[in-house]
Amino acid sequence: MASDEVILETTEVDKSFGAVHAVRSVSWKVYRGRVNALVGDNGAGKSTLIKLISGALQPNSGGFRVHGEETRIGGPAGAFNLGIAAVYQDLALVENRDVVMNMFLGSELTRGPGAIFLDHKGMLQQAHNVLDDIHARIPNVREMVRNLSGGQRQAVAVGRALIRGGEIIIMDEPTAALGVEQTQEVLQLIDTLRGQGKTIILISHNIQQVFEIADYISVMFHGEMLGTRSRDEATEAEVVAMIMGKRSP
Amino acid sequence: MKSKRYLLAALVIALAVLTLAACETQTVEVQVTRVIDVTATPRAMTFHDAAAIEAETAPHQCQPLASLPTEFSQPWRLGFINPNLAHPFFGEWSGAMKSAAEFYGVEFFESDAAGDYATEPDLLETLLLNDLSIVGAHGPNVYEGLALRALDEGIQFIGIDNGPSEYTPIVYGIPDGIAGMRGAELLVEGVRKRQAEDWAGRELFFIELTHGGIPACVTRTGSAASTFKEAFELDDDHVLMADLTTGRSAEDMVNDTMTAHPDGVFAMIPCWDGLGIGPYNAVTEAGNEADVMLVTLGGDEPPAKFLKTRPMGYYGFIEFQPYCEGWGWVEVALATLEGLPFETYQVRKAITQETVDQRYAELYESE
Amino acid sequence: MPIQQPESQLATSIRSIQRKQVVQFLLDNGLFIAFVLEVTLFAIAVPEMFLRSRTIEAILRLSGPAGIVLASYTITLISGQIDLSTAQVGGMASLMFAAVFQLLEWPLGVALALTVVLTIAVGLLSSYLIQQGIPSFVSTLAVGVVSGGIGFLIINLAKQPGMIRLVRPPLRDIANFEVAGVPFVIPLMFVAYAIGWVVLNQTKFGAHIYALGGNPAAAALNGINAVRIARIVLVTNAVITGMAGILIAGRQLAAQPGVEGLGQSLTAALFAGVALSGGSGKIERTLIGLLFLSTLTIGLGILNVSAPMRQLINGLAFVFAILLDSIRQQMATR
Repeated sequence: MASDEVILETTEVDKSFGAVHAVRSVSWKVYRGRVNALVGDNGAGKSTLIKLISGALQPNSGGFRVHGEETRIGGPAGAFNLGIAAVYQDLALVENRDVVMNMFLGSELTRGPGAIFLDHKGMLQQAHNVLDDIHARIPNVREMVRNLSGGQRQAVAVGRALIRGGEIIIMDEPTAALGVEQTQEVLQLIDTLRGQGKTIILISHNIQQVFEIADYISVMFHGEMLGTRSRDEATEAEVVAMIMGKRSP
Repeated sequence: MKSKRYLLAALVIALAVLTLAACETQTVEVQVTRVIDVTATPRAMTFHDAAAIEAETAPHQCQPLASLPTEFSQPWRLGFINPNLAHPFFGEWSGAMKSAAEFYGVEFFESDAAGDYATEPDLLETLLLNDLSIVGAHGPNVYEGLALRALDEGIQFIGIDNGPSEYTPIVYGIPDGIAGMRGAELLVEGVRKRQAEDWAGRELFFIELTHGGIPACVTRTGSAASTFKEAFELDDDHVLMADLTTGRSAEDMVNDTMTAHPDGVFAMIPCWDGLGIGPYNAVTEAGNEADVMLVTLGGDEPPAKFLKTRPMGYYGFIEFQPYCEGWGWVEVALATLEGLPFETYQVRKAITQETVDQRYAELYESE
Repeated sequence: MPIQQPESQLATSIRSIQRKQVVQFLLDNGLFIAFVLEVTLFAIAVPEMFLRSRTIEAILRLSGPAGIVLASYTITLISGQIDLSTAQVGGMASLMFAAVFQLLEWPLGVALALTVVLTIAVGLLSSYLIQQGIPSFVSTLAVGVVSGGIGFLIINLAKQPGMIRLVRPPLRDIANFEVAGVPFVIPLMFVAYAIGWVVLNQTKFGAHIYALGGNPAAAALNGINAVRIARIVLVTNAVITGMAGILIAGRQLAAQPGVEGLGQSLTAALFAGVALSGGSGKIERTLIGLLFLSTLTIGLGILNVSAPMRQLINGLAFVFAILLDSIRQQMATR
C-alpha cells in the first residue's frame, strides 16, 4: 500500500443540498494505476462525491489535490483538463448518434480555420484505435448507439473518457443493468484499463464483484468516509459491516 | 401594330389548323372561317341585347356594362380569387360570375381565399395553371402583388373595389365617390323628415365613420360628408369623424361624441354596413336611439334583415348590388380582352324602411 | 411437441423482426414513397394540367421562402426546440422593414439592419424564456403573440389599413428578381439547404446540436453549452424567418402581420422524420416534406377542392405527421 502513489486526494470535502448533508468532510486518497472501489449503501454519498470529483458539482468547502498539487475542479471541462473523466451510470450517450460521434461528444476533432469543421476521418481513425486498445467488440463504429448491447455501450463511454485523455476514469455502477456475460466483458475492460496504467474509481453495490476486481475498497456511510482497505487485507464480512455503519477500529 | 398582332394571331391559328387538319379534316372549315373573321372584319358580329341581360339577371336586373359580341375572337378563360365564398356579399359575386360566364359562353375558374387574404398569392399560383386570359381578385391587402405576378405571366388583372395602382390600369367596382354621395342624399331626405318632427330645432351633427388607411373608405365617406355638409350648410365643428386607424372602436367613438354634445342629434354614414350598425346598436343600448339617424353603404342580406325590423333611426342603405357587381366584372373582363369599351359600375338602388320588405322578398325569398 | 415450441417461438420472433424491418423501411422511405405516390395520383387525375413545367415551377415558387425558413427550422427542431412563432415573426419583420423602408423612405441597408436587430431581440427573448426553464413551445408561442402585437402596433402607428404597401424599388425588383425565368428564391432555397446540411453534418456546432437535441443531460455532462446553442439557433431562426417575411412581402408588394405558409414548417419537418423531441432528422429530407405539402396545395387547387376541405386536408396532414413522429419514437425505444 505504501508503495502506491496517490494520484488524487480530497481534503475535508463537504457538500450539502439544503438540509441534506450529502458529503461530510471527506478526505480520501485515490491510487495511481489501481482500481479504487467506492462502496456504500444507497444515499451514502458516493454519487455526490464522484460528481464533486468530476466537476459536475462544486463543494461547499474542502479541496482537491491532483498529482500532489492543490487544485480546483471548475466544472466538467476543468476535470477533463486534470485527466479526470467520468463514465456516468446512464453513460450519457446520445442514442441517435453513432459510436464515433458519441466517443467524441463535446471534444470533437476539427480541421480547417477556426476549428469549425469536423475531422470525420481523424475521429474515425482514433475511435478505432481506442476501441482496439480496450479490446472492445464493436463491429461497426458508424452504428447508432441505440442498437448496441450494454457492454458495447460501456465500451463507448469508456472510450470517450480515454479520448479525453482520461487518466482517472470514474465508473459509476458500470455493471448494474448488465447480464452475466456483459458484466464479464466490463470487468475485463476495467482490467485492460488498469493494465494500461489508468486509474479507476469504481462505484459498485456488488461486493463480490468489488473483491474480484478492485485493489482498494473505500466505504462511505451517511456522507462520511469510513475508511479504505487494500483488497488483500480486507474481508467481505468486514466491508459489509462497514457498509452497515460499523466503524472499524 | 394592331394589324401586325392580328396577322400573327392568324398565323398561329393557321398553324394550329394545319396541325389539327392532319388528324381531323372536319374541323378545318370552321377554323378557317374564324381566321377570315379576325383579319378581314374584326368586329362584324352580333351583340347581346341589354334587355336580355336584365331579364337573365332577374331579380337583380343588372344593366350590362359592355355590349359584348355573341361570339368572341378567342375562347377566353377567366379566373377570379373570391375573398370568401361563405360571406353573403362575396358569395353573390361568385354566383353572378359563374352565371355570367355561362351566359357569355366562356370558361370561368374560381378559388376561395376563405377570408384569409394572405393565402391569395398561393391561390393565384394554382389559378394561373389554368392558362387564364385574365384574372381578378378582391384583395385590399395583396392585390398589387397579385397584379404584378399576373403581368409577369402576360395576363391582365382586373380587381374589384381595389382602387388604382401602377400594376392595375383598369379599376373596377363600387364608384366610391358616387356611392358616398348617394348615401348622403338618402340621409338628407331622412333627416329633413325628422326635422319636421321630433328633431325640430335640435343641433345637427354629422359623423363620418371611416378607416383612414383604406383609400376607398376615405373617398366614400368623405364624399358623403361633403354632400351632407353642403345640404345642411353645416360648419366644420358639426362634421365629425370617427376613424378606425386611431385604434379605438367605432362604438366607443360614437358614444363619446354623443356624450360631448348631450343636446345634439347625429346623422351617420359608415364606410360599410357593419361599421354603422355596430355603433347604432351601442347607441340604442345606451337609450339614445332617438338621437341618431343612420344610412349605410353596401346592403346585402344582414343589413336588409336589420332594416326589416324597423329600427327607429336606421333610415336605409345604398345597395351595392353584389350580384350585378360580380356579373359586371365578367363583362368588363371580356370587354377588355376584346378591346371593347365598357362603362363604370353604378350604384343606383337606395332602399328604405318602406321598400325593404319588397326588396328582401325579391332577393332572398324568391325560391 | 416439446421440441416444436422453441422453434415456433423463434419463428415468431423472426416474423416480428421482419415486421419491424418493414415498418422501419416505411418510416425511413415512406416520405419518398408518399411523394412519388402523390405525384402519380395527381398526374393520373389531371394529367394535362399537372404534368407541365409550369406546374413544377408553381410548386417551387410556393416552396421558396417557406423552404428557406424550413431549413433553419429543421436545425431548430433537431436542437430540441420547437418554434411556434415563425408566422408572426415573419409578419412583424416584414412590417418593420416596410415601415422603415417604404414609409420613412430610409435606405435599404438601414431598414434591413433595423429588422435584423428586431428579429435578434425576438430570438433572444425566446431563448431567455427557455433558459428560465420554460419549454420552447410555450416560450415561442408567447413570443409569437408578442411579435404579432408588435406587427399590429407598427401598422397602427403608421395608420395603415391592415398592411403596408411595399412597392419602393429596389426591393420590389430584388424580391421579384428572376434568373433565366426562375424566381431567384428557388435557387436561394437550395443554397439554404446546402448550408444547413454542411452545418449539421460537417461542423462541430452541428454535432453539438444533434447531441443537445438527442440527450440534453449527456450534452451538458460533456461540456456542451446548451444555453448558448439554443440562443444561437433561435436567434438564427428568427432572423432567417424575418428575412423570408421580407421576401414574401416584397413579392406581394405588401407587408402584413401574419405570413402565410411559414406555419407549415412543423408539418413538413415531421413528415421528413425530424423528431418533435429533437436529436434526429435529416435536413435534406425536410425539403422533400415541403415539396410534398406544396404539391398537395397545388394539386388540390387544380382539382378545385373547396377551401374548407383544403383546410381539413391540411389539418389531417398535420395529424398524420404527429402520428408518424410518435410511431418513430416507439420504434426507437423498443
